[in-house]
Amino acid sequence: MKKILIGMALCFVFLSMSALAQEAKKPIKIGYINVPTGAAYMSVPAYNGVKLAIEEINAKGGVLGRPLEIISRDSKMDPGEAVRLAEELVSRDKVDVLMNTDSSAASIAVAGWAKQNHMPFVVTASEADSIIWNQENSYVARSNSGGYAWNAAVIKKAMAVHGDKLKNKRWVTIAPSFEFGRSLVGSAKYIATAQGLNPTWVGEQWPVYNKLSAGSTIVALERTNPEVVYAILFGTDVVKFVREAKKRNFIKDRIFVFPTLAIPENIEMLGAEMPKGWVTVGHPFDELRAKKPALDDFMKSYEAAYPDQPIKSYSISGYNGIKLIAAAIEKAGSTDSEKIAAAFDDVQFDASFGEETLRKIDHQATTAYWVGVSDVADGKGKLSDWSEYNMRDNSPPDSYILKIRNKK
Amino acid sequence: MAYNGCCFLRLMGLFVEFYFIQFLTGLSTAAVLFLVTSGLSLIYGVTRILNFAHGGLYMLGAYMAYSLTQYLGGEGMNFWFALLLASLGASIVGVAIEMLVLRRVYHVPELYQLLATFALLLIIQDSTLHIWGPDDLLGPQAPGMAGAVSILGMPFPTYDLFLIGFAVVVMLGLYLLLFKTRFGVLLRAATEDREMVANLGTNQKWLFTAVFALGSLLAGLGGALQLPRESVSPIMDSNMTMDAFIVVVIGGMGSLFGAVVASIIVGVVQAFGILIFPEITLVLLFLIMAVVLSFKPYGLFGRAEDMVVEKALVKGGALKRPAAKMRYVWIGLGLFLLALPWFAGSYALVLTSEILIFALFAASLHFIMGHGGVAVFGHALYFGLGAYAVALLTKYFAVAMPLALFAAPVLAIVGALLFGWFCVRSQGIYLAMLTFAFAQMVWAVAFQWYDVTGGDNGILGVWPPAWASDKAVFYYMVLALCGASILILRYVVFSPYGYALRAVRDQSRRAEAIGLNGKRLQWIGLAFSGAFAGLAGGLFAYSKGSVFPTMLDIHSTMDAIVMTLLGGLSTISGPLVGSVTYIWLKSEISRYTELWRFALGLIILAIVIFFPRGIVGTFNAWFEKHKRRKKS
Repeated sequence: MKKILIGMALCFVFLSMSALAQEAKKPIKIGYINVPTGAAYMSVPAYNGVKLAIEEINAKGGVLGRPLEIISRDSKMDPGEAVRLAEELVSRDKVDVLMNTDSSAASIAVAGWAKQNHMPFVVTASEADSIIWNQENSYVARSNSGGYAWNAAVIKKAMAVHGDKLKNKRWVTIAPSFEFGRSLVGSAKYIATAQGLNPTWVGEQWPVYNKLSAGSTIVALERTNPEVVYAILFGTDVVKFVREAKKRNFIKDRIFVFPTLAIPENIEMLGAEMPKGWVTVGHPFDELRAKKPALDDFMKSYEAAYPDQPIKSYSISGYNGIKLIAAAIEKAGSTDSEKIAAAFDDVQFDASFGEETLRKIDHQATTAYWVGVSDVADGKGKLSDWSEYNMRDNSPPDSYILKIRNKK
Repeated sequence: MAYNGCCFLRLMGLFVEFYFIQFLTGLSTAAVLFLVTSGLSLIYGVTRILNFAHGGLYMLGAYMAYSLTQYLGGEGMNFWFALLLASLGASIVGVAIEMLVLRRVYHVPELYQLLATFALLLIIQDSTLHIWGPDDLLGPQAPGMAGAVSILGMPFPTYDLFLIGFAVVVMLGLYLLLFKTRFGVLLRAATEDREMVANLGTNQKWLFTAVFALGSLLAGLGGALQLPRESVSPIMDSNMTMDAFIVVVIGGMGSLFGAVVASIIVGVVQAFGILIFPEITLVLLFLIMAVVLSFKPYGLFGRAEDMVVEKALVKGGALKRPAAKMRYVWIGLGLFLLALPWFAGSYALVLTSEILIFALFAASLHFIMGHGGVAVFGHALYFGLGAYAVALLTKYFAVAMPLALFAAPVLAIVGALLFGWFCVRSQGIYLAMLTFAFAQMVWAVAFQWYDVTGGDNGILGVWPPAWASDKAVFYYMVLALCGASILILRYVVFSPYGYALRAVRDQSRRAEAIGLNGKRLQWIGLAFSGAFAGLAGGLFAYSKGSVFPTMLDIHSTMDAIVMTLLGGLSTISGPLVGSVTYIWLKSEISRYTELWRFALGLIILAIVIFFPRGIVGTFNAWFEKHKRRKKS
């Protein structure tokens, strides 16, 4: 009898242990809202980075002993659809964390949903500051750094390049009418004044994203006779603007501040048509990898995995997003959504540029920026005369963020 | 610098130069628009098909031109040769589309044709993405035209000047083709009266194919000529499709001269809009379209055509009350929906809520389209108005949910009465285009009025209050409201008003003769159906917690139309069956493949070609046949 009881007890212990082991082996699911049909140029490199990070982590035994699994859905760049997918991923697919590579509008919408439904959510592509600043939202984190710091770095670089020539000038802005464009133009105006440039804003254009009528827009800008042009454009609009600006001699004797000009996708596309001397942000990967062993490792494995696809900025933010999620879950010690959200505060993760820490105040990563001037060498565009700008030094003080939140 | 030191006259002089250059810039936009829309208009004139896929052919022209310039090299004559080959390529694709697909839909009603070409556009979009990949591709500059010429002291791109000249040459070429050749005579004759041409022994089949070849050639040429101006990207088509539609509708469908004039209007207005009202560029175009159509319902140079009117939609015939046995099915369905929260998970509840909301949206469209015979092609307008009513009231006035949900249909009714007054005065495809123009106009307002509507960020934080935020409670609320609304719609279908509406639909002249005011009946019908679409929109806003301009756009309209036609137009339960099938299919397809547009396109084509009566209609026909066979 006793033996039987002991046997049964042993059986029970064994069974429950194997059940536990089963539980431990169950993958941690990450719901990934992506845009393969809305903006494939962004989605494909981002997803490459995501898959690479997942493979790396799973090869090392996963997180908390469990493998990571990605469930990807297409939001078609439609914020309404993105919210529906968030709902579907959480309640139907039972994902533990949400992540996205999507427009700013969709990111803001899903961030609101995540707050309402207490789901941790990591933004990887959008750099609009309103996602993390406009409301206290501890469930949301971002794997890259935001637009304000970016702008501050760009304007400081412009001051370094052009010196006093940048003071008391007539400025125009051109940016897409969507959230990221609006928020960057807003912070650029604030920063330019704060840096004592005393600008006069003589005109602004808000073309619809990917629908820029470059010729007419440049004539309209020309009429205000600006001295400094602050431009943020993406996708097809960049080429249209650059070609028309050259043909119509709009670039002559003017200072251009164009943060999005030298991102890898534009360098690849514009080739020798890259304008020279415009202040811009870039990723001088080949020069950086010599200095940063972490980046070199990342690039080697990326090149091995996708030999015919060059690295884009989205590859990095996608990769970092997964690394951030893994680190937060590891720190939380569980996949409980409240614990993960709490773990976002000051969490450290090994990003593609090396170790990074998420800021407590707004849960954003502190990836540095490389700002320089656009240039052409050997028939290819490049970023030259660049310097590294630390994100923390260029972010506004916490009081600025709190002020925005309290106004809302 | 600046103007401080300039005298007033100098200032004026400077501005005249700007205006002239801007005018030329507008003309160069108009040149490409003309190439594309002349093809669209020619095709419509002869085949009476308004080809949504035309923008897709334009995009294909650009992509093929890119590949060919890469292959042949973009220097000298090779560049022009590549452009020519690319246009021919687009022409071949156009012919293939005509022979494989459109030949099967010439006999179906116009709205179905519109859907079929929309499906083709979806298929072209996904195929292009699959073949050429997601990245923007930058082609070479036109040889010798990378620079600018000086006009009134201002630089103007040589290539833009070339485009204007080229368009004039094409215009003359088309004129000679149409008025000096036998082919042209046949084309014009077919545009005037295609049955007469057929009776005179012309092979219509090949005439249609030839006009598709020509129209697609022009679209491809328009796309290929964009190569030096912008990078080639998978979204080129949607920009062009919208502009091209505006042009042909303003100019009058089928009129080549109209295409010329309207291209110039649209190109120049766009250019000056940017100069003078940069905030409302989108609204401006749709506003012009709506104004033109309100005063000239057939466009500037279009002609009224009775023939078109009679067959925009499937004739319903007498509507039979469903068999008494069907009652049990409905009761069973009702009980199932009531019991759902006890056994279904939260996702099933959310999905069912969405299906119910869309069923109401589809039912409201079905009412006006199926029973009213009004080919509404912008029903998203009322859906979106309802949603924005809720969102704006919540955001700016913190209005409670019941009141906001009451306001949603009210705003939709106001909108429907206002826009509907203009719409019901025209008929057929023009009415479809007018409803489309109004919907696009309101979409553009929502998109560009950033300060109020938040632009494409939409309005967030429209969550139901605490008592209704539980998914089951919200589900019951949706079930109650949508269920009651669908029952009301069904009741009205069999009321005297419903019979009158169908009388107007089927025999408008006889109905007038017995004293029915057809236009007013349709106008009221539009407001009535708009109200329910508005309620659906309001509920949708609460279910998502947010409102976006996409709710007002063409895809939202398409959703409603596909759901309605999928279920079957001349049926009672069509919208319900359609919305269940469609939403389920759409969410399942996009789970398993990124080629969801391709799959959706194939499904729509299958409906149009093989099941024009929809699921319920096909089932009913099969059932009837079965019963008759049993009796005999």
